[in-house]
Amino acid sequence: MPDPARLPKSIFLVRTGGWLGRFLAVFLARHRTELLLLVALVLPFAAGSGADPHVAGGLIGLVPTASAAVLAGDDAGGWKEMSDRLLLENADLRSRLLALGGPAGLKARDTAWWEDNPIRIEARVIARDASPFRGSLLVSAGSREGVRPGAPVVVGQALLGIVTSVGARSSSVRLVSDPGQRIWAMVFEGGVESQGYVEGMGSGAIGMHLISTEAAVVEGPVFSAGEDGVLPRGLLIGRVSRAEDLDRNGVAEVEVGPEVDPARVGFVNILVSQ
Amino acid sequence: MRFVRVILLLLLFTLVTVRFPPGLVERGLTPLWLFLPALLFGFVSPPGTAALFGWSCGALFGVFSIEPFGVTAFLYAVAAWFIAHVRGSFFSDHPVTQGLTAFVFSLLVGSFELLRIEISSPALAFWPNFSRLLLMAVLTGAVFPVLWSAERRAGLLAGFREVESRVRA
Repeated sequence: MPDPARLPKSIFLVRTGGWLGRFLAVFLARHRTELLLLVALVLPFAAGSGADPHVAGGLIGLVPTASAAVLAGDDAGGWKEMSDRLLLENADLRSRLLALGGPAGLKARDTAWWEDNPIRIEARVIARDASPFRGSLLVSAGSREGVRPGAPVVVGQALLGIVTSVGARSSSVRLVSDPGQRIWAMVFEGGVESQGYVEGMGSGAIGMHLISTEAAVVEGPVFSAGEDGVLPRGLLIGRVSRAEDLDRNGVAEVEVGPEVDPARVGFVNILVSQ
Repeated sequence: MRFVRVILLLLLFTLVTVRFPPGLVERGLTPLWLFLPALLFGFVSPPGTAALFGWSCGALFGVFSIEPFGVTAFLYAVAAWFIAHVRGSFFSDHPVTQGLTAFVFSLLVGSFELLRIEISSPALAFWPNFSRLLLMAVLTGAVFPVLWSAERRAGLLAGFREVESRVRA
């Protein structure tokens, strides 16, 4: 045990009047590095807004809320949650507005599915993919809440991704922008429906290969076509941001700007049919 | 307690990685956070220890990624092991060589990851993402000498250094 008299003065937070003081001084001297690391690790959780049932994801999931609380005051955690919910509601309203004034072909064929009103399970985003080239989320709803693999994950009526694996109380979601994702989709231009598939390019970008197209696509919303047996028809994927002309094989390459920015999403809805 | 501080260090870097995931930060540019401690072990520990802790960093990364578990762990372990083997042949105490080594190995590890994605997924992901990887490797190379210097001053990895273990032996 180090001699307290030879320890640096800066660690004597308590004057060594008794055995407790000496013990604290020696303990601080021995373990100050560990204590500093522990403080750095625990600080973001200090103002956490409640326990999360998940083990790893729960800890991580607390951080954004807790950090905001530390920076902005006691109620910041609550404001962050409210802001996330408002974003979700806003996206929902925008999607409904788009559907109301959207392409006629979409409305007629799509309403049946929406009127069936699949169950919407609200889930919180508790972790995001650590890889710079992949896109996935861990969300706080699993098989206990009724989530199944293949379920679409939406914000409003905008598609964010698809559930790939399900745990008891959490699920993994592969985003539309993940390079492993490929979805059959459609885009309307001048009343003409063109179909193709969208695939993630990594780093948030989405590409679309239009196969059955008669019109030159320059803009417009891109929806899921619902013909791959995985997704329902009419989920908004994004908007055409750049388009190229048809090549010799009749395929047009289109860049799609995603409708939802996963970095800003705090809550999502998982759609489960009844 | 020396293991406790290493575990705390790894958890801290994991938190930073998941809190500021590179794919989601504005412009997607951050250092490869969890690769930094793997590099650090490669620079100060014997090859076996470096490989073990490099693997741990990659495994923590893999827990929070949709990548198949073990791929990143293997890459980080090999990188840390290799650096531990070759660091004696260059000026490993100089910030410039440290930065360059961190840059080169970040680029290599990232390129392997991108190649794996390119081969296994339908999308062509290598070249669209390579410029971003290049900038992230530059950032990793810039941050690493600072981390190395901080570790030296704080003595974070005391007990894991090769010199000390040789002295004990």
